[in-house]
Amino acid sequence: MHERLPGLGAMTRRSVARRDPRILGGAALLALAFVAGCAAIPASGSAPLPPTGEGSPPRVEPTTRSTPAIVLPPGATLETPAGHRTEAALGSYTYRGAGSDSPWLPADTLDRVDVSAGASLTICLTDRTGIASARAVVADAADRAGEETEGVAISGPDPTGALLLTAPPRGSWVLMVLVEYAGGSGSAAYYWRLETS
Amino acid sequence: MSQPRSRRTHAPLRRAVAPLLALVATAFLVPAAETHAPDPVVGGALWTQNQLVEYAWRVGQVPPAWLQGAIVDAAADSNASRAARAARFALDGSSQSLIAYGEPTGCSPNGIACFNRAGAPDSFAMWFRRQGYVFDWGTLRWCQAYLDPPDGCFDAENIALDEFGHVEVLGHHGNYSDGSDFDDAVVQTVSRAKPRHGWDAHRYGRCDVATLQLAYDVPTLASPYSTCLDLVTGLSLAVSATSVPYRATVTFSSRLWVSNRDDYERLAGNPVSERLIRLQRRPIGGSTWTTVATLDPDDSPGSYAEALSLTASGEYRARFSKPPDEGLRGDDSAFVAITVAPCTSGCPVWAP
Repeated sequence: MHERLPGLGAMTRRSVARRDPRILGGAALLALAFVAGCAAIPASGSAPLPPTGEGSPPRVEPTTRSTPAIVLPPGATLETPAGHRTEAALGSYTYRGAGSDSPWLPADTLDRVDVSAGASLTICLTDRTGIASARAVVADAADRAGEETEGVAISGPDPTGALLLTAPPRGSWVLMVLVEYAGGSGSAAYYWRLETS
Repeated sequence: MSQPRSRRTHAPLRRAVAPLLALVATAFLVPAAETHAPDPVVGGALWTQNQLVEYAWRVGQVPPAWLQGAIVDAAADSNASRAARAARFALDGSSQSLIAYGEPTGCSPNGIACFNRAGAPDSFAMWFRRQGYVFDWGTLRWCQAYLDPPDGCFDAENIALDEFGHVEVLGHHGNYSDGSDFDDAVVQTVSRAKPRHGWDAHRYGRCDVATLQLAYDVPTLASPYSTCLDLVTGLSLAVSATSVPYRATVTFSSRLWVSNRDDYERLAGNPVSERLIRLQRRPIGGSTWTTVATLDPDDSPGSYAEALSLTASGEYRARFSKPPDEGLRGDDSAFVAITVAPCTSGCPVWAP
């Protein structure tokens, strides 16, 4: 019985190898990337992910009176090299015709992420919404309004949808990652507190 | 079936494959470079050009008088500064577009104000959190609620203008990392409180306007294009004759337009009127151009013309120089050669 390669459907190791060793090598890299990048990360309390598709139905939170439900964009998680995942706090966003505006989110309202300076960080959305582009800035954690921000190099998305960035130098920081979703469906600002040592 | 949430995953494996991942990722990464461009769009249907969109206060959540005034002023700010055929907003008690104050809202947990434009082009909704609402990040204070607004308050007129911008179609502007271009947009990812720069802006910024122009077109063909745009133009030159007797009058006609590109949306192919078009001449086969006239705007959109009496052969072109105050690129037309016959009678007498 042939062993299946993740992400390659019905293709088997033997059939791949017969086609071209270079294909096997590339496929293995891709498979490893899927293991190491963004796996399916459901948001807390969200429905199971759909099997295919560009994105997922928007998260909808009912309100207490007869007003339209809140349309929320996907959540995001930041993962450290040690494998710890931390969910982002959601700032301003626009998503599928709706949106919400917020100030800069100060450090004391954010979940703390302890990480080494210069460590590789991975950011994933909690559903399969595509990412068109992303930018990241940090501000000193003592800067409660984000008055002095500086850019942080961020790359991606990789084939798994992961954004990759390097932890800033030693200190206490607020990290804001601004993600623009594929297909023009909107954008969102995600925040974390980074403690780098 | 819900999946358990794991905080620790396959870290050893990930460390082992990190170099491979980097190799694979390199082939797929899309640059997330710092950019400066017109605001993105929220998506959904546009309003019709210059549509009058009326709004009313939501029953049971009517804003206090100080907030009503700020919202009405913001609607007027939007109308006055949109510089496009975008929708106009006006208060009307019977409208189905509702603006609400206080709970419940359609806002996310950290949101001070929010909107839903899914009903466009028929309706929209907008919400403002109540004065004194306690967030994780602090207590909301609207400046208009005070006679002497304290630092840290949010200008409701500015925030409402941001929301009206969203309702038009604007997404959050992409700023430089240091925020030095904050003035380029009111529709911002980070709402600023008093006294931070830009906290009380009451006009759309140039990159808000750029997107409104792309989506809805400029008000008139003579209207300036936002400097947040960088539109390629086309310029043509035609002449009434290419071979003429000495001192014959030749009419030079030029047309200026915005290039017909898909990404220019409503602006693609627009004739551009009331600009400065110069007519330049060089000797046939020469290399140095000299401005010999300015072409006057014609009655036709984007058209310019001038008649000149010619005494010598030459090559002519029209030139549109990039204006310093709008987002159009300059362009030169192709040149046209005009042959002028030698003088046969009444010719000038040259000094020996």
